[in-house]
Amino acid sequence: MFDYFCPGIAAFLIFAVFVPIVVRIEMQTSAIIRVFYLAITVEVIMILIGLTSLETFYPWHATAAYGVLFMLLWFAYGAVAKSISLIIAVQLAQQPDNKMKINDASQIAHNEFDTRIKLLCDVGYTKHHDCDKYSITEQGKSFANKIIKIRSILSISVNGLYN
Amino acid sequence: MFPETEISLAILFGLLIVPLFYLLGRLGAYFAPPMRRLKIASTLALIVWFISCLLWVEQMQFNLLIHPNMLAGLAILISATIGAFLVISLLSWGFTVTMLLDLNGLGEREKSREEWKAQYGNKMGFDYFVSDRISLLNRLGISQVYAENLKLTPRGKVITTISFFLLWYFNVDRFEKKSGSL
Repeated sequence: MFDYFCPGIAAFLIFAVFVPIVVRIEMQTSAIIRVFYLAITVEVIMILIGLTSLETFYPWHATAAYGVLFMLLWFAYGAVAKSISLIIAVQLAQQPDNKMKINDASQIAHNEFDTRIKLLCDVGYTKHHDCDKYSITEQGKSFANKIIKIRSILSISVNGLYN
Repeated sequence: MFPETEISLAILFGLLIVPLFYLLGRLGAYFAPPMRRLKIASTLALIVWFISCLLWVEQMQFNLLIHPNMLAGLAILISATIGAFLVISLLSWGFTVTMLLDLNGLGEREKSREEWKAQYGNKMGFDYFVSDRISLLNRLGISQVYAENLKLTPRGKVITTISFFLLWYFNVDRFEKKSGSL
């Protein structure tokens, strides 16, 4: 059993060590793309080393182990970086006695709304006008229509709310 | 170099999770909630994969589940489920995506920040959104509400400690600014 999955687990550990370094390097390419390149590079190196240097190597088993650990890490990133609920929880943990007024929690979400507006403007999907007004750009409209189409194909009718 | 039967079947059924999700969506209101549909699609894929392995793979043994091929197949199916969850949750509950769709729904005219917030979640409004997310925290046992206050539970403390580590690990502040992703 050890022979089957060990190369994949070892490769993931090497990948995991390099992630915090790669995301901190000052580069034009986005950190997410760099992490993907790193993941693919480590996978390719693992297969090359496995095929050339190991007596017994099972590439599919090693890749399955590497893949599931990578997906779990990706899920963790999505949760901590993007989830509004977790953003509120993390801010809550920084308060004395770990508690805050519900209105303060609401303010965190409002601040996050402002952050995401800036993100949408930065990627060119929305435009900021005078008097703090906003409109959607052609690029944003095109992206929104693609999302609407995919949601319609998959019969997803929820409106961003859990309840 | 070709994968063993169990692994090939796992790849096949992993790829079938999203089509299954799509087909379940055509079956009626019970299957409308995306999370319910994803759970059913993933469980179906897992069960059919397991039965297929029982039928197709020779040398059946009692230690089937700890066989390396079965474990690799299981890992592939878990990966496929996480991948499908990430895509479907982004489409269903993605905050920035919902904001963009709401602005798109408001038409060409320039809108104030307040108008935009009022449109959130198909005109449910931003305050409803905030209570929705707080109630999620409460349902997951991360926090609890008492006397107009939100308080972190012991489970919440564990989760936020892990979150602090992950925020450092991914250098999230910088990630957000540089990535330009949704």
